[in-house]
Amino acid sequence: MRVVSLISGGIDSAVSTGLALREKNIEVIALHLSNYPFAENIMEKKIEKILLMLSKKFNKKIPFIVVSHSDSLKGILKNCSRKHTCVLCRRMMFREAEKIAENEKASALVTGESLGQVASQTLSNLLTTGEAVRIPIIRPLLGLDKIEIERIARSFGTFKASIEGGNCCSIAPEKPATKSFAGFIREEEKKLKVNELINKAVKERRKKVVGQWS
Amino acid sequence: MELKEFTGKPCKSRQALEFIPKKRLNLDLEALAQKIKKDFFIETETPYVLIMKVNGKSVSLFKSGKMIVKETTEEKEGRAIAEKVFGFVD
Repeated sequence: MRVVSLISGGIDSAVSTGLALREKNIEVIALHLSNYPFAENIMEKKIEKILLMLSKKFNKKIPFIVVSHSDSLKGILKNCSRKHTCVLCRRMMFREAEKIAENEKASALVTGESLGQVASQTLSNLLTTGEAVRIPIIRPLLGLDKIEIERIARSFGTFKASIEGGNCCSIAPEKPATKSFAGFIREEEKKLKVNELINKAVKERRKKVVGQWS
Repeated sequence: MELKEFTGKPCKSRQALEFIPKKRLNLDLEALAQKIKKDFFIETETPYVLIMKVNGKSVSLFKSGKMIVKETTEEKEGRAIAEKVFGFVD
């Protein structure tokens, strides 16, 4: 089974990617949806460092794809409800990831979402973000709390690299919606050229292979 | 506006300096962008953040008046950049 694992550079997505890599029969493609210039340009290097650690730990090579998500985010910021920026942003990320999965013949996405950890990860918002795509979304951290996630990150050796400098998004709203309704979100998305944004982002993807393996 | 109306400090998690207004602002970033684009290269313009290059450093100015001067932790350099940008804020 092949999966596309979304990785931001933070603690959680390194752990979910590691958990997927730990499974012998799962082939993992790491995908970073870059928010630069809304995030720092060191994120890609930071993620490569994390992936190298995971590659050594699990003795697997890791194809690594980077897609620029910033045009989608810019469109959302200019046109859509500010309170719903994160939900709209994640729906676009999932669509880009689904398209990558199709291209790579992967059958699921893996994310580092953990129930209730941040505003975009309430049950309501997880349902709304997930319904943007048809591909199954595996959330291995869903029921874990931050302490448990950090413990696994330490055991994988990624904790320190994950907390080092670099922020994956600087433009989250101060008061994000913790509850969202798919009908409203779909109306908001009519203000965006969804397919055009996704196709352009995916077309301009970059791919490399990270890691050491024997 | 003058720099004394802001509190400046190094960012905790990155190589950057942060300037926060003592009184919360509600900047019209689109109007501000029009004013400053002759002087600075504007990389990204949205209603909530302006991202620009000032003296070769990346600067984010938020609607709330918060400014982040990236790629430096030199206080003197950061303050000089912040002063330049805040000079355009009424």
